[in-house]
Amino acid sequence: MKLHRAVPWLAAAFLAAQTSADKIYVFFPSMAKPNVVQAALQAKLSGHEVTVFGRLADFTTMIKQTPPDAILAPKALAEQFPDFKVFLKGARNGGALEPAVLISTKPVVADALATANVGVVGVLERPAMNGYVKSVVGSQPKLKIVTKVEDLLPLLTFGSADAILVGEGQVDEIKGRSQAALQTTDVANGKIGLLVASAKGDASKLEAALKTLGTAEKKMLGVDSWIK
Amino acid sequence: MDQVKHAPTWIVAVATAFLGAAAFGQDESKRILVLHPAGPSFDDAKKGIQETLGDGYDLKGLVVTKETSVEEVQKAWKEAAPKVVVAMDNRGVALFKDARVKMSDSVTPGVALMGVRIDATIRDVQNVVGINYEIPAVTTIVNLRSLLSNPIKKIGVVHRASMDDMIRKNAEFCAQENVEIVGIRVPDDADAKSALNDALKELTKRSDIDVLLVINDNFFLNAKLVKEVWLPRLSGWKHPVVVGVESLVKPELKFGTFAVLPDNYALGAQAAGLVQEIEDAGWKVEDPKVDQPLSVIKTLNLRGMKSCCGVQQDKLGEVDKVLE
Repeated sequence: MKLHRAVPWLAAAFLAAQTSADKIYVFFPSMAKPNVVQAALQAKLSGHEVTVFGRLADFTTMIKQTPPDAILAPKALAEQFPDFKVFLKGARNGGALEPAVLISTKPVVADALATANVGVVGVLERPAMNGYVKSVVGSQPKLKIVTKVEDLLPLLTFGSADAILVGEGQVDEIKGRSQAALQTTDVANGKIGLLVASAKGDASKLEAALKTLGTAEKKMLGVDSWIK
Repeated sequence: MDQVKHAPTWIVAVATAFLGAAAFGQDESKRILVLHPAGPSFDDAKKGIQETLGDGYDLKGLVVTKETSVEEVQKAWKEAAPKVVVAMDNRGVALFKDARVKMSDSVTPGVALMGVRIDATIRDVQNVVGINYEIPAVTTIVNLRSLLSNPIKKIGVVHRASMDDMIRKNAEFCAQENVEIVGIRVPDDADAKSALNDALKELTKRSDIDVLLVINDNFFLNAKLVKEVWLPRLSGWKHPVVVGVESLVKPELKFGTFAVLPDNYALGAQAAGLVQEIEDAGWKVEDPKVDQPLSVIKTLNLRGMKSCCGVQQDKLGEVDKVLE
C-alpha cells in the first residue's frame, strides 16, 4: 500500500528531474543591463533557465546557496569555482584571451603604473582583484574598483583614476561614449581572459545551444565565437 | 601506545591554540560603525559596503533618527571601538561630527555619504573623506547623449545663487565632454514662482539649448511649481528634460524624459573603496577629498522622449528602466 502510494510521487519526481531545465548563472559586466542580457539569452537558450546577475556578490552567493548546472563568467571568476569544468571558451578574433588596454586622458608610462590609480571593473572579490590586475599589467597599481563598465569613464572625468584597464573589445564602446581626448595604451604582454562556459556535469545540450547564439547575444557576452 | 594516549591532549592543545587564534582574530576584526537612517536606500548602501569589503570587516549599524542623541552615538562608538565610522545622510554626518568633538576623538577616520552637499558638510573637518550624493551633470549628459541621435552641446539649468560653486564645478566637468552649461542664476531671496517662470521663458526661447536639467532643489521643485510653472512652460518644448526624481519621469505626467538617480549599492561599494584606502594608509585619511558618485540608475520615459527627440533603439538596453 505504502509502495503503491509512493509510485506516483516517485514517477512525478523522476519526470520532473527529466524535464527540469538546466540552471545557468551568468555574470559578465557589460554596457547592457542584466535584464536585457537575460531576456536575449533566455530567448535563444530554450530548455535552460538563465539568470543573469548584475552584482558579483549576488552571483557568488547564489552559486553557494542554489548551485546551478552551469555558469558563464569571465575566465578569472570561473576559475574560483573548481567544481565547474570549462566546456567552451568564448573567443574574439580567434583567441580566448584579448589584449589588455589602458584608457587615459594623459599618456600612461608603463613603468609608473605601480604608483598610479587604475580603474577596473570588479570581476573578483576585492582582495583577489589586486593579484588579478598585477598578473595583467605586471605591477601593482592602486585600484579603483567599480561595479559596472559604464562607471569606468566617470573615474577619468573626475580625475579619480589615472587610467582604466579594459579588454581590447571594450575600448571602442567606452571611447564612443566620450568626447574627451582619450588615449589608449596597450599593456605589453597583458592579456585578459574572455568569458568561459563551465558546467558540473554533461553540458552537451548547453554547448550546442550556446553555439546557436547570434552576433548580438555573443556581443553582449564580449565574444564573437566559441572554441573548445 | 604512548602516542595514542597523548594524541587527544595534542589535539586539544592544537584545537585550543586554533580557537584562541580565531578568537583573537575576531577581537582584532576590522570593525566599522555605520550611522544611517532607516530605509531601503541606506540598507542598499550598507549592503554595498559589506559585500565589497567581505567577511574580514564587521559592520555595526546604528539607525539614526531626528531623536537620536549624541550620547547614543558616543555609546555605540565606545562599544564598537571602530576603525572607521561611516556616516550616512546629513543627520548621520552631524551626529558623527558632534560625537567626535564630545569624545575629543579626531583619530578615528570617517567616511560621509548620502547627504545633501557632503562637500560643504565636511569642509574643514579633519580625517574625513566623503562622496557627494548629487549626480554631476556630466554623468547625466554622457548617459543621455549615448541614447540620442542628436548631439548635446548646451544644457540649460535654473539654479539659486547659493549653488554657484556647484554649477561652476559641474561646468568644468561638462567642458571635458564639450558640453556647456547655460545657467540662469536666481537670487536666494527671489520669488520662486516668478523667477522660475522668467528663467524658463528665457531658456526655452533660445534655439541653442539642447537639454534642460532640473536640479533637485525644493525651492524650484515642488508640486505647486511643477503644476503652475514647469508643466505649462515646458509644454511643446521639443527637447529632453532631465530630472533627478523617478516620479517626475512618469510618461503620464509629461514632464521629465530622463531620470538619473544614485545607485545606492554602488555608492556603498565606492565607500568601501575609501575605507580600504584609509586602511592602507594605517587607518587614517591620507588624502582628504570628496569624490563624485560614479554609478547611477537610469530611467527613460520612452514615450516622452520619442515625442521630442530621436532615440537610438539599439541603446535602450543600457537603460535600467524604460517607461512607455
